[in-house]
Amino acid sequence: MDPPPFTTAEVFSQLRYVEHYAGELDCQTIVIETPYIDRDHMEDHSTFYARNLTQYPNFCRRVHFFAKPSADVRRCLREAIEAGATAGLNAFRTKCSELSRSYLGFAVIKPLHGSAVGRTVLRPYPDVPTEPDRAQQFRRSFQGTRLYTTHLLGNELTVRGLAFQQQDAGVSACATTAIWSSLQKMSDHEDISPATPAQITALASRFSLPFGRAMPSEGLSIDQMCQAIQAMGVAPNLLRPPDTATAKSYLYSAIKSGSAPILILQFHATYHAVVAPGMKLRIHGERVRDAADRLIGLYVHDDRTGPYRRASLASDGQTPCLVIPEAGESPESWLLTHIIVPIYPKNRLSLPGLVEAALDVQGNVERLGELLGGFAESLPEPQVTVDYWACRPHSYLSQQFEADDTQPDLITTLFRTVPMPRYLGVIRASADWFGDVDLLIDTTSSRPNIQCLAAVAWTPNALSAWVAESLAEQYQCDTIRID
Amino acid sequence: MCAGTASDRQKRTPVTVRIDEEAIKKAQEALRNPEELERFEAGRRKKQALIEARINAVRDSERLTQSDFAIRINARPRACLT
Repeated sequence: MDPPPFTTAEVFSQLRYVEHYAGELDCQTIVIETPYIDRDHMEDHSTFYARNLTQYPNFCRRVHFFAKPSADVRRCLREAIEAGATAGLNAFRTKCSELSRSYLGFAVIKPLHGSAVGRTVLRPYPDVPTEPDRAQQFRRSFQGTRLYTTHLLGNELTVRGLAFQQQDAGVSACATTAIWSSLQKMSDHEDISPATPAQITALASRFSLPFGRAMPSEGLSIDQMCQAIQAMGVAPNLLRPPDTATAKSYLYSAIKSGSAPILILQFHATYHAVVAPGMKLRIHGERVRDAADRLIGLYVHDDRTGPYRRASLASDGQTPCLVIPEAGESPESWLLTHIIVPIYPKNRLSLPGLVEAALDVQGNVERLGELLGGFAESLPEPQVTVDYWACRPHSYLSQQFEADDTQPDLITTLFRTVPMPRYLGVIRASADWFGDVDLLIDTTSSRPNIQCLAAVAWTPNALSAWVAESLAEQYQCDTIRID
Repeated sequence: MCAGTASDRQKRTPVTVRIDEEAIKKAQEALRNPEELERFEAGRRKKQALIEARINAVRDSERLTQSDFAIRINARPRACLT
């Protein structure tokens, strides 16, 4: 491909990034599927490109990536079909899941030579870094990703990731693609149809056009971004973090809650939007008072470059900023001005509401520790760590099943006696003197009429029960503990 | 909204500090004694102020004005000359 007129060779930087990233994931084989009908491109085509004098095809190519030699991929693709035909559906599924273990994802290549990278879903970096020295320092958490199912030559493959695509500056600008990526994750939680870039731009410009025509896209205002998210049946939680600690709290709890927050960044007079499906959490060093203090970096989908770009969080005075390293150049430092978190509309407890409640719980549990420290010589510094997130009750339940110290009686009592909302607000207080206590909040309640559901003493000891009882009394809810 | 990745696995916080029953009983009693509680609260106001400062920052983040909504987001790919 040649760069289109009036562009530079950098026009292929997203394609090169995808190639480089697949290499980092140890890609050994690519399979090119052509023609491939991509819903997003088809919609963009019918809305915009079909009206050009010079016609573009309405179909794409799709490139699949595998961490296996090509002969093995060929054999596995054939064997799965043969297994299904001879041994039935379960044998077929087993073979497909075996192949999915080496499936790294796919990239749709659009027939637009100036913006070729379409819907691209690639596996994120591993949670535990492969280099031993880095594995001692941090973990990655990609809770803003979801499972995608694809079909190739009759085989059903799965990959966990978050869809990325580059802006075409025709149907979409960075704001549109950021919303598009973020809502991909939202449709993992709720029955909302994933919107195409063309639909998002149309919804954003339905009631206001502050910067002129909607297409070719001249960019969106934050107001238009919120309008588009709201029109998709999702509530936009818009925040302007005044300092780095507050920004970390929001980003940490949003990603831990399974959202992919949209970050509005500023560099001089330019504003940009990226999406953060993952974060980097420090695991060594001092114990922290706020679990969000462990957040040291993000992995962002930057439509100007590519998916899962490494970025570190820093401060410019009081203002939080995102430092994005550039290959062979000095890093770009963007001010983080706003965060938009798409949330389920009935989740009335906003992120600030959850964080504020968590800080209050922390103050109360530390107070108990200090009171206790006055009588116990073994407790000179009663430090408490607070963690906070929102989740579906069944997810909370499955987390308890996977705990290293499962409490079957406690789990049964909790789910038998406490009515659960669609989303639970969880505030966890932890300390080395009592273990873990969770305060569960009804997220359908809002400030100032917040309703707590239960204080759960997950660690079976007298102090954990005391902390849970005190919280239950303070926040007017039940205590769930082992007698 | 939780995802189901390996990072979700719960690691319980190990209890490494042992506290005798007597101290727990005394703390429980102190919690019910208004005079003792007042003396204790006066000593921890500084720490509470730190938490209040953070809560104020959280509340600040929700105070949006018309100018926040008017920000235009249109960073272009680097390859574009216009």
